[in-house]
Amino acid sequence: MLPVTEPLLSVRSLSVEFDAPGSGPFARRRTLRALDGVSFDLIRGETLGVVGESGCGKTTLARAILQLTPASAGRVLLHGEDLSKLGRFALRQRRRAMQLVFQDPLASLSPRMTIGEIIAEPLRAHAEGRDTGARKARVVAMMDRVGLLPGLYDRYPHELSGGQCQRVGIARALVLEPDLVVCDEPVSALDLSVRAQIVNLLMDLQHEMGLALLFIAHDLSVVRQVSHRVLVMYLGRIMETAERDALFAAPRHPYTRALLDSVPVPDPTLARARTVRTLPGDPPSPLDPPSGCVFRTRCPHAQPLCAERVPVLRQVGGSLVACHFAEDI
Amino acid sequence: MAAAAEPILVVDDLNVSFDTRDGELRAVRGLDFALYPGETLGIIGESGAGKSQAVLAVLGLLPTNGRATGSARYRGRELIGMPGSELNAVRGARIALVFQDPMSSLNPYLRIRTQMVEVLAHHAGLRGVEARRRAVAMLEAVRIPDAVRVLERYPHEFSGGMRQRVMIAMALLCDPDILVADEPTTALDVTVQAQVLEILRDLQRSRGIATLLITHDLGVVAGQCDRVLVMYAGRIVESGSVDGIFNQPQHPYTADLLRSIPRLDRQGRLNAIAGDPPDPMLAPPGCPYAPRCSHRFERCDRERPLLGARLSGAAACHLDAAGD
Repeated sequence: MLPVTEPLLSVRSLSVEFDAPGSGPFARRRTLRALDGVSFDLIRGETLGVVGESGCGKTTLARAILQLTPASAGRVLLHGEDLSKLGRFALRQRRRAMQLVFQDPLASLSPRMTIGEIIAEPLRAHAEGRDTGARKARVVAMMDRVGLLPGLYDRYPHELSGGQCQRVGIARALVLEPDLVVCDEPVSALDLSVRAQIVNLLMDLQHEMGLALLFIAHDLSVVRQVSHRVLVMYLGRIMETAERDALFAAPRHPYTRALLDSVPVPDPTLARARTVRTLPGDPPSPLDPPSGCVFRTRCPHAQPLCAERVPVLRQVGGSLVACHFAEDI
Repeated sequence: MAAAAEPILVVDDLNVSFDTRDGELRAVRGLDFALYPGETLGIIGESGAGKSQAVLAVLGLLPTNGRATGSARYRGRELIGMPGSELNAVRGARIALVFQDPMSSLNPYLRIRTQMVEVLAHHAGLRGVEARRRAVAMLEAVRIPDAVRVLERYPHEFSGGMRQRVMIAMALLCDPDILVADEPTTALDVTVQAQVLEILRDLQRSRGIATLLITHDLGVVAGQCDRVLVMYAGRIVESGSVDGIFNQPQHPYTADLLRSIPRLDRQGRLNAIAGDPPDPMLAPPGCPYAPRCSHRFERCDRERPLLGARLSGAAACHLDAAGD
């Protein structure tokens, strides 16, 4: 096993650009920078929560890490190995170690395959457990681990509840015993009374299997529940990153503060007592990001400097924060 | 507060069912509630609890395979079974609607001005300059900057938050008595949700519109509502004041739900509820929550508990004081 301090996953200055069609037949093609210079490390047994609103690049980040979307710049290192330098065959080998859990549990399961076949599919694809008896035993053991009764082995996804389907999705991701699991909004499509089951299951499995988890969600309460560290993104850039408790106790970036302020509290007494300072406007278009700090158009503390210079991530208190005035606010 | 006044909407024994390939699906079963002037009544429940189907039935908006029985009276006028032409005069003018997805409720081919003026012409007989002035005033009321220019634009030119504000402005054009908001902020980002919720609170305060807010978000309910109905498997399992529901929940489902959600101000392992929401095609004889309830006893499987009065509000549970 790796020493704990060595990162399992290192992301270095990762950028992703998409071509966006211009409007009109002669318009210049435009570039949409979905991810702009993102760097972080993830160690074994650690959960990194990634939060941000729609369009902030969190799903693009997941896809770029898994080499499903090509990066325009930067590197993704797994066990110190640059994934973009690998050939197709070698990358396919490394994919065993990186798995994905999707948002919509039913849509991400093939309707024509049984639950047993779905969970066995990664084993088949990676030519593991050719002995069908042994393969089935592994699938059944995995089903047990995620809380699926063995009687569901021959059932089809549409016969299962949303929560059960997400357990199948998790079992499929874990059956190859990966090192890294990327969860993209894994509970937001589930019924309210079922979410806690899946959150607890993911936390238990992570602990038992020593997984590194990249947990992407827009729900800050869920992210706080599962994460050791949190990354706050806005318009493709990291605004702030810190240990979970530091971030929620003393957020340094104005955007992190606004996000935390905006979450409705499920307590009428507290809700009446607090004044929500709502952010004006909407996130700007990623096709036409503001100069300097991308958050400045909605920031209550914006100064002329913010339009001129892009703030770099720097240590303030317990956080790495990209704000020129993090000390003053 | 509201309790002294006459309710403006009274729903009595409302049942909604759908004909499906697999048989009859009973989405709402014997729903009773009253909405009072100026209050915000929250209906909370998970998907399949029947909360949206209940309000669609009240407004005569069920799909063709849906059927509503029972009664829903707006200021004494029966809405269930009301002829379409008559219902159109109430709906949109007296009772306004805001849905989750504003894009699907706005016509993508028409300028905002055309859509707003059409509403005013149809319901209020306003035309020309007067209609236009009214439209601008409503857009300004929902804090849309540069309202005169916004009128000339098309829905796709707006962000989700702007569209939802335009929808709210359109809903309020005819000065309705009741605003029905079905998951109005579910599709929005959290910072934009905060803006829209603030606007809804302000409008409520300044205009005194009775609001029926349907949501699955307990945080939204806590910040917006005066009273709350908790629905499960097509029925109300608990009703009460927002403080009663959150501070002293009387039904195990409400209590369990409140304990299961992660919160920014709380740490520790979540108390997950076992099992799944019930299949709406099935209706076992006892309490619909019994299979998941930690207080379950023999009577719960045999006999469905009726909604009975509690210290505050009402709950449908065989336990005297649930959650103890």
